[in-house]
Amino acid sequence: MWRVGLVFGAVAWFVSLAGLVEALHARWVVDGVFSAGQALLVLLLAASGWVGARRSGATLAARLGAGTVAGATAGFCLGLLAWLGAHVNLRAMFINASPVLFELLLRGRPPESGWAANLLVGAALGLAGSLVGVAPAGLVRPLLAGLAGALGLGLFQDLVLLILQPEALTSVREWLFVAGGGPTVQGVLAAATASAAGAGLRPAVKTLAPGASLPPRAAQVVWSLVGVALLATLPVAGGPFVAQVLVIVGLYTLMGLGLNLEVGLAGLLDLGFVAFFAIGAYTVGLLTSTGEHGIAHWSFWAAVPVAVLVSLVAGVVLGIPVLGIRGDYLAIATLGFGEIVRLLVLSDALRPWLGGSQGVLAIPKPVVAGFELSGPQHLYYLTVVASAVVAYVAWRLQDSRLGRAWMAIREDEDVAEALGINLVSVKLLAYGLGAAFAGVGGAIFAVMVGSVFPHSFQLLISIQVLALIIVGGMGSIPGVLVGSAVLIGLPELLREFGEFRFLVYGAALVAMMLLRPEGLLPAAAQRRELHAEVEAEPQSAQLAAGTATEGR
Amino acid sequence: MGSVAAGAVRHPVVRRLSFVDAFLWAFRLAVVLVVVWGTVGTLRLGRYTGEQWVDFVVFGLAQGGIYALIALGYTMVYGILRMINFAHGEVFMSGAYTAYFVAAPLAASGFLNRHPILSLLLLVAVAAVVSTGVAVLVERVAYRPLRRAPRLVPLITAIGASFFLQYAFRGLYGSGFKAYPEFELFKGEWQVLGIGILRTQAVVLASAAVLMFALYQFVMRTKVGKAMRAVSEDKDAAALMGIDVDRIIVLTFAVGGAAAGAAGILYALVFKQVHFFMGFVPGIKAFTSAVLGGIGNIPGAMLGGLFLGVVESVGPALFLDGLGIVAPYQLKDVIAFTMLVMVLIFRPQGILGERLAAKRA
Amino acid sequence: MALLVTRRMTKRFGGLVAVRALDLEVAERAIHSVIGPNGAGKTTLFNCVTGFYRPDEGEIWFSGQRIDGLRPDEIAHLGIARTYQNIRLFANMTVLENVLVGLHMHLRSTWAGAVLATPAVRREERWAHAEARRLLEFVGLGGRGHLLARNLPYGEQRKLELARALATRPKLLLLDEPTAGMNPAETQEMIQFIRRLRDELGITILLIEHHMRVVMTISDRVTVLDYGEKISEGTPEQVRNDPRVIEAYLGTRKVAAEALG
Repeated sequence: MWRVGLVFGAVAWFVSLAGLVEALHARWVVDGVFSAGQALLVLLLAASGWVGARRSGATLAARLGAGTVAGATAGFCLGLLAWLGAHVNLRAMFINASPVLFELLLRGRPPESGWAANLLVGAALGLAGSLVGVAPAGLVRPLLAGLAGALGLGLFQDLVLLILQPEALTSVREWLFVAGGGPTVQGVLAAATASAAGAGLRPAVKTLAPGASLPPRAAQVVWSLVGVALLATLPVAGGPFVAQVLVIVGLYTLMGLGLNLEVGLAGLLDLGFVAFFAIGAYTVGLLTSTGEHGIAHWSFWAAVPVAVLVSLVAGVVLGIPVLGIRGDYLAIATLGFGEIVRLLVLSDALRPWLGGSQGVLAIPKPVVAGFELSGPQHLYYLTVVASAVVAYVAWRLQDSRLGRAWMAIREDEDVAEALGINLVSVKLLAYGLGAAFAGVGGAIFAVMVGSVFPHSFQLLISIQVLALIIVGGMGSIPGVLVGSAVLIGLPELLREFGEFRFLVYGAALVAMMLLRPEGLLPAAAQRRELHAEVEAEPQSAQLAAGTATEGR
Repeated sequence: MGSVAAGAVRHPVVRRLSFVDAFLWAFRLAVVLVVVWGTVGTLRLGRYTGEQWVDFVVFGLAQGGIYALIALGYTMVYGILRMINFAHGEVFMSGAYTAYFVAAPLAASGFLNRHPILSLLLLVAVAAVVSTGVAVLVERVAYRPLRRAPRLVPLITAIGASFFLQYAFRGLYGSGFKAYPEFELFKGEWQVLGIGILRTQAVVLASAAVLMFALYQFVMRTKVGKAMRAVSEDKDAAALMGIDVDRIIVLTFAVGGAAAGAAGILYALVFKQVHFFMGFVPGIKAFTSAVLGGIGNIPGAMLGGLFLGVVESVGPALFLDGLGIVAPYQLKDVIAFTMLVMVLIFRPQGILGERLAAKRA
Repeated sequence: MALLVTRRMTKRFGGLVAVRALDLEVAERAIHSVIGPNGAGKTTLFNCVTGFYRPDEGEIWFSGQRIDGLRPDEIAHLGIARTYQNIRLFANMTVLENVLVGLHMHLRSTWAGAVLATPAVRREERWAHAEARRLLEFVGLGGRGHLLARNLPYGEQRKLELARALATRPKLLLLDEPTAGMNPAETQEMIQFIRRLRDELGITILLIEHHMRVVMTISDRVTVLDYGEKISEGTPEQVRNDPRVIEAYLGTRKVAAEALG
């Protein structure tokens, strides 16, 4: 079991030296007592105990013992790191091996005894983790929920504070948070208790009052009303910062919906997708800009349809050459096209028209009936409407003849063709419509930033969009929303996190493929449920339907 | 489509030119026109001397040698697992970047210039060890559990691993450029046949050639190399012959990683700096080289690398300058990516022509 | 007149000649079997007829129209459907959706119509769903429509593949070893089913089969291939007694006699 501990120890070394621990250390979970960085290490040690316990013998004692050993080993590794840091100048190589980190690891003790303390703490946390591993699920769920609640309050304190901004809520705010600092002890306890109670009571509510819940149709209506109300009030309640984050989430949702047509439905892995976002943005930029590169001085509303059309055509044009390419070769070829587009836009050769690395400046904001949509709080509504329209289109397409043809070519291109599906038109429609969706996003992006330049359209964006549809669940429209909320929204809210978001994206892609390849909200299950309902009704009628010979 | 069904009898040989075919022909024609037109223009302008052309070619060969060494890793892994190890560029980066922390103190203490050859060997060894470790780790964590998954799945983990590694090394070593120490010995030029050749480029080219020769001998002559080739022919049959397939796969990643690590040091010699993102573009270009040579084909990867290096180095001046394009050198990556796309579209089996294209039905 | 005709059709893979100068005529409303040892070129024949491969030489005619050189989807539109030796379903789609894909070319809705949910599109979708359910009922998969295709047991996967092929309303159905892996009872059921396809729906059947009892029971005509060449053709009775077949098929007279039963 010491091997489990060593693996976790290595992970702990990595997160420490890569700077994650120190970055999170800047955020209090309990003001002045316990930081998010410490929480990360504590969670790692406890997790090593949990894994150690689950991987070992049948008896309770053996499992607890194994967990303790794993925790102690991981703790020892951390202690060793602290000791090394005190004696060797690790910082010459590892930029984040800072005094703050070692201070945090040693908690003020001298390095000679600090490692022993780490070992003991590790053993204790390992034991705790293994206890969680052997405890019944009914107990574990509220426990973990409580933990998440406590951590969540600390991690998303900016958001909570923004919501508690109004004068009327001052007392709540002061009770939950230290002025200018992190959550108070009672605040954390309250958050933990609330989430634990919520998780603990949910099954109880379900069993006690099965009839009390609303019929499904009514529940749907209620929930969608709640959703709409929330969407409408969020930016007002959260202020410009939250609105800005939500606009970005919306833009990624638009791109995600587009890429989802290509990758999720049609199985065409496109790594150059950001090019269409860029084309949408540049089209709007060039058509509306009042600066030197503006060519038409159109209004935003006139430019958007053109931008969508240009993106659509670009999707088809770049789709034609790659029609015959499959699988991983397709991914690389589209990546090549995406990079070619970016490099051309960036080059001095096209500078007179596209502005080179400076880009197109002075893009005016959209105007609705004399009212300028200037700040993020205004653009938010534009983004929401655009996302809703595009999501509706995507949803209609998915359940149509074309959507089925896309899924068929994803599953088996040859068979689909032998069933009479014209691969050329079906694939080009996927490329074109997917690109058009991204073009909508690009158009909004252009007016949001007020300028477009090539640096905004790097491969990283394509990878982010790919990551979000995979995390959400390929081929699933709600999955796209969840994916962009989790992968784009959360990191925006966690400022310290910024530098590490791509690290987390990479890890998330690998972890999702290893542990849950179908994503958080898988499409297949939804579809099955959907059809199961439809199927159930006409059973009897269908038996009476005429014989199979008719119509032939 | 209904109209097609009603269509008249068509002779199969003179099949109608579909609009897709026409589009592809236009694409080919456009590229050929640009190349020919540009070349004629450049040569008529006579802006470059013979010596400059030689410089371009030598630089291209040196760069191509680096691509070739990285390409070996792609091609060997593809040969065995039929998957693109997207993270291979980061394997290349990890070695060179880590070795910087050996090179810098060596330079500071003066050891580097007192024993340049020994230092170079030491750096190559460090880089190779680190890159090998990273390659094996990636295989173990991200690829091995997915051996039987659909093809897109390991590709997505590979993309994930690639980004994870980039930002992991950024977190560990920082986001700035690190200036690699220079060897005094390799400064200046050597006269070869009356032509001055930059010493760095000569060293890089020679080292790449030696390493490639050694690798080729390893794969062709040793027992392990034979086992690798057997596994790439047929995994199941190889397993029946008593070959430990998992071990061979790990070894393949290790050998490819070592080559990429060595290539990283050569890259640092030429470009004199390293950073966490340095693996991406050379990685894509090395992949292009591997495809150019016919993926899965080891000598092909070597030739493909050299070819790409030369085209990319000569291309901006030869093809683009003559068209009157401003700052053609900015477009050298466009040339490389265009070659990549064109090979994938028109000749996925590579220029050397070993057919490994996916079988239909 | 014959529904499907190949004239001196040849297909090569590198140096290997998979099918050599094959002349084949499949009569309308016939059940026509193609037999032969492994590697005789039977599946290659199917792949050429469905447009998957292009024959190197010769011609293929289907109901009076030349079809070699057409794309697979064009050929499907003319009325040829097939099943596969190793069942190829759309594994991650539901059973119903698999059949709906088969109906694809009989639906007219465009993407814009689908987005706008025009009455015509909704009517067509309702019809398609009803038709798909009817087909599932016909092959004995009624009420299974909501399952994912990959979760069906083997025998039902074969039935689904048939339902999907029938959804294209073929005139000619190519069946590649439809009874492979089936027990005697299931095989018997499949024989009955194939007969029904011909008798009730008027579909012409071209069949690859290894099961000699099946071939001899249902075929109107049998073609024997060996190394890509036709070595015999005729009624089951004629083929069974053809010494060349016995010779080529299994080498020795005794084993062959047993196999051909």
